[in-house]
This record gives sequence, structure tokens and C-alpha cells, in this order.
Amino acid sequence: MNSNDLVISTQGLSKSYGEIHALKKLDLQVHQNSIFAFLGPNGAGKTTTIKLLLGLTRPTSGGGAIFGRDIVKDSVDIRTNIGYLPQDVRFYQHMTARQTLDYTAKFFYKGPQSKINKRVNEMLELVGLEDRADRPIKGFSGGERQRLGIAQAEVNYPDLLILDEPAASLDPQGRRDVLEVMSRIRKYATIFYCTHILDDVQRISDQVAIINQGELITQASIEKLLAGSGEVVYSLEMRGDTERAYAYIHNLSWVTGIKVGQENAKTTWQVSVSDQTAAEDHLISQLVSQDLKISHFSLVEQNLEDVFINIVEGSQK
Amino acid sequence: MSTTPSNQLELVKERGWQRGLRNLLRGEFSAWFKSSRWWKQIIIWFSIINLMMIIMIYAASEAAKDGESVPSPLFMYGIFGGMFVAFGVMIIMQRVIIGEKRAGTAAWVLSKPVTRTAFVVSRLVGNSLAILLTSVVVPGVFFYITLGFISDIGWLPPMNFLAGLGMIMIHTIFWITLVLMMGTLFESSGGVIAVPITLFFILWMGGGMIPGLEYISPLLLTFSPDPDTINSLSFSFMAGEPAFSWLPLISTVVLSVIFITVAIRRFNRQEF
Repeated sequence: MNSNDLVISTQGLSKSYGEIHALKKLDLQVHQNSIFAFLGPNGAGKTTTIKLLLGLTRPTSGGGAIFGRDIVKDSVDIRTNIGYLPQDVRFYQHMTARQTLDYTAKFFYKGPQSKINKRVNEMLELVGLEDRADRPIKGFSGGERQRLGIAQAEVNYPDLLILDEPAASLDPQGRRDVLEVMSRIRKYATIFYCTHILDDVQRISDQVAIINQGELITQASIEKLLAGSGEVVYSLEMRGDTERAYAYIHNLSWVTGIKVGQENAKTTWQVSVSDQTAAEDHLISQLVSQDLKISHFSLVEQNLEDVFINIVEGSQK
Repeated sequence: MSTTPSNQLELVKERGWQRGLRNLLRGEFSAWFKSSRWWKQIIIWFSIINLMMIIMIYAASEAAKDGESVPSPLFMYGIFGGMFVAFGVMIIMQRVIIGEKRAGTAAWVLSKPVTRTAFVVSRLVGNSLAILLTSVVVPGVFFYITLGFISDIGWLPPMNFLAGLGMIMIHTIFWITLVLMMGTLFESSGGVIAVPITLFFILWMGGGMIPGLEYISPLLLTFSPDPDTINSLSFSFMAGEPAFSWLPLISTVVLSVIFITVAIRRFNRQEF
């Protein structure tokens, strides 16, 4: 990746509301055609960042660029190439889904009407709202509104999609459909999105940034983040005098920690190691040498949720 | 799904502050005229203005037969078309900006390639045209016909009537711009409506207390708080009399321009 393919870049982007610092010197880099997940607990500054990028709010200090153009001075031009789905999206209640998409499309295209209609129909099909296209939005459920929100964000063939909680208020099938749409769109566009659903992030994202209390904690690829501290964890189930074995195993130079649990008559250990090769070669034999009977041994796959919680909690200490 | 940009679609080519204006106006007009809103407003204003005027014209003609002195229908029309419409504007317009800010639709629209100035102008133009049509022009035409057919005044010279109706329109626009500006200054509809109502009563009752107010008050475009000494401009024009002063017209136009300017400047600084 090089700086020429940067779609979003911010330098020291900050936003304060009086004494409250909603965003502190954010330096972010989002590359072309990536699916970039922006994570953080509630109130971390995610939506503030999105609003700054879209020109809905002005930075207190610092700045940024989208497609190489200034987010403050060139905001209206930038928005020509952006699709945006707000958190808890709201539309005009008197309009139908079709009218809403037609209205949205006409901020970008003036005609011909037949082509706009075609695009509107494509979007209705994309989000599965064809059968509700001509009903007033007033009667839409949260999930239907969210689908329409995705459709309106995509109606202008955006080069950058900014999605604030795209899978929120969707049922599991709707969530799966949204993720599928996002995966398909990545060929043509860059996707920058916020979410709380970390499973989804692990499935489709390639870059992740974690923000907490207005500060960027980390920005890395999913693989790098999961590799994280370099620590590898093994899960074990066994029987025998585990208390005696505990001290012996804990003293091995490549063992960094052991978490003990109890399940029925079995003892479970989560053994953290700093040297994966040494662990795979010697851990079982060392346990057997302590007269323990091993019924389960596996490598614990790192989970983004654990990584996220560790990083966020670590940043609060 | 097709995500390949279509070269068959023609891009919008608005520039400067007008970015998005055409579509925003289209949205405003469809909210008024592609719904039941416009004809409901016409029925409301027909009932408030025209039915009342018909009743009053009959009552006045009966009273005149008994030799009683009664106010002119032109004076009464100034009150109904001016005062009542002003309060109607406050009710109709109170949620125009505030409602959109609170519902989140303003933020959604502003995430598209539109300028904030275009947003405010579209709300001003769309609502002004709709309100003027439903609460001034249509009731005005009915009133003109009513005068011609059933009142003792008869058919007024059309230009005189139009000039009088023009004063009522400018007066209505004054309240529209004021309430619109309040929508950009306040975060609740209470504040948006409280200030115009307070101002209305200050203008109405404060004439004697605030020196000079009686000569510049926008109310004088449609009705005079002191009809024994001053006739409103709409009354004067409809009756074919000279205006007592042009100052109310000038001050109303200047204040309306100030309100629009403040609304646009304020909205451009707002955060969503």
C-alpha cells in the first residue's frame, strides 16, 4: 500500500464540545478498496469522526482529506462520491421507499428519468424491498428502514461508503445479506464502517482501528491485530493431580501464564506460551510426565472480541 | 446488482451555494402538493377567512339597514388575512427547521452534495409559495369574488386589490422568515413559537408605548392597531387611497432580509 491510494487520511483531527474532548488528535489512514472497521465502545468518538469526515461538524483542530480533498473546504464536492448510512437512519415519513431513492438519486443525477428509475429498482432489489417499494416509510420496521438506508447510500455508485452501524436492527438473515453486499461492493468502493458486532468485523474487514475515549488506540490489519501480543494460548482438559503439576508447568521458561477452570470432574487449563514450537513439542509430554491424563488439547484461536476488550481495557488503565 | 457507474446517467451540474437546491425544492413542493396538505390548508383558510367574511358581509349589510356603523369588510379582511394568517404561519413553520434537526432528516440530507444555504433557501421558498398560495392567494381570490357579488363595495379595481393583497403577502413572508430564523437559533419548538407570538403582541399593543413603532410596524401592512388614526397599507390600496407612509413596507422588507441572512449564517455554522 502507498500513500497514493489513500481514500481517507486525517492528521490530528480533533473535536471538543466545551470541556469535553470528543476526539483527540486522530491520525487515520484508509486505503482504497479496503473494508475498514472503526471500533470502539459507546461514546468513543466514532460517530463524531464520521460527522467530521462528512462536514456535518467542524473540527476544533487538525484536519483531514478524502480523495485528497480537504474535508472542510471541499466538503460538498467530496460528498458527490460518498454514500452514507447514518446510525438510526431517518427519512421523510410522507415518502415511499421508491420516492426516497428517487429523491436521493436526484442529488447526483438529473436524468434521464428512465435510467434513474432503473437504478432505483436495482437498489430496491439489492436490499429486498421491491414488494414494499410503494408503501409510505411511516409504516416501516427498523430493519426495513436500515435496508432502505443501505440502498440510498449506494444509489450514486459511491467510491466511498461510510456506514454507521450498518447491521444494527437487522435480523440474522438481514445481517448476513448486508455483509454479503459489503463484500461485493468492495470491488468498486472503499467501505468505512462502525459496528459493535465484532464477529462481522472479523469476517469481512481487512483493516481495523480501535478508538476509545476519543483517542485512537490502534490501527492495523485484522491478522496483525489477532497476532497482537504474539502470545499463543492452548486449551487443555485433564485429570490427575493438577495442583502439583501447576507449579512445574508454570516454571517452564516458555510458559507465560495458566488460567485454571473446573468442568465436571475435569480440570481445564488455558496455557499461554511465548514459544509456539516449544509448546507443541513439549507441553503434552511434560504434562504426561506429571502423571496427568490429557483428554483434550487444542490451540485457542484468537478472537477479535477478546483482543478488542483487552485493548480497550488496557487503554483505560 | 450493478455497482459499475453508469455513464448513461447525467450528473447534476449546480454550482456554488445552489448545489442541491433544485432537488430540495422538488422535495418541498412534493411534501406540500403531492399530499393532502395543500387542499387541507385551503379548506382551513377558506373556513377561517372566507366563511367568516361572508358572514360578516351579511351581518354588516343587515346592520347598515338599521343605520348602525360597522367596520368595512376591507378592514376585517386585513385582520383575518393578516393576524390570523400570521398565527397560522407560526404553527405551520414552527417545526420546519427544528423538526428536521431533531428527526435527523436534516443531517441525512446534508450528507448529500447540497449546501446548507440551499437547504435554508429551499425551506423558505417551498413553504412561502405553499403558504402564500393556500392562505393568501386562494382566500384572496374568493374574497374578491365575494366582495363583487354580495357586498355593497362591489367589484374593486383589480390592480388596487392586487396591491392590497401584495401587502398581505409581504406581511406573511415577514412572519415566515422570522419563524424560519428562530428554527435555526433554537433547539425546541417552544422557543421558535414563543418569540414571534411575543413580538406580535408587542407590535400590536406597544404602539402607544414605544415611540415611532406605529409608523414602522409590519402589522400596518395588513391591519392597523389604531384604525381611527391610521389605515393599514392593504386597506388603503384596496380602497384606492394613498398610503399613510411607506415606512412599514420598507421596514418589513428590510427585517425579512435580515431574518433570512441570519438564518442562513446561523445554519451554516450549526453542527449535526
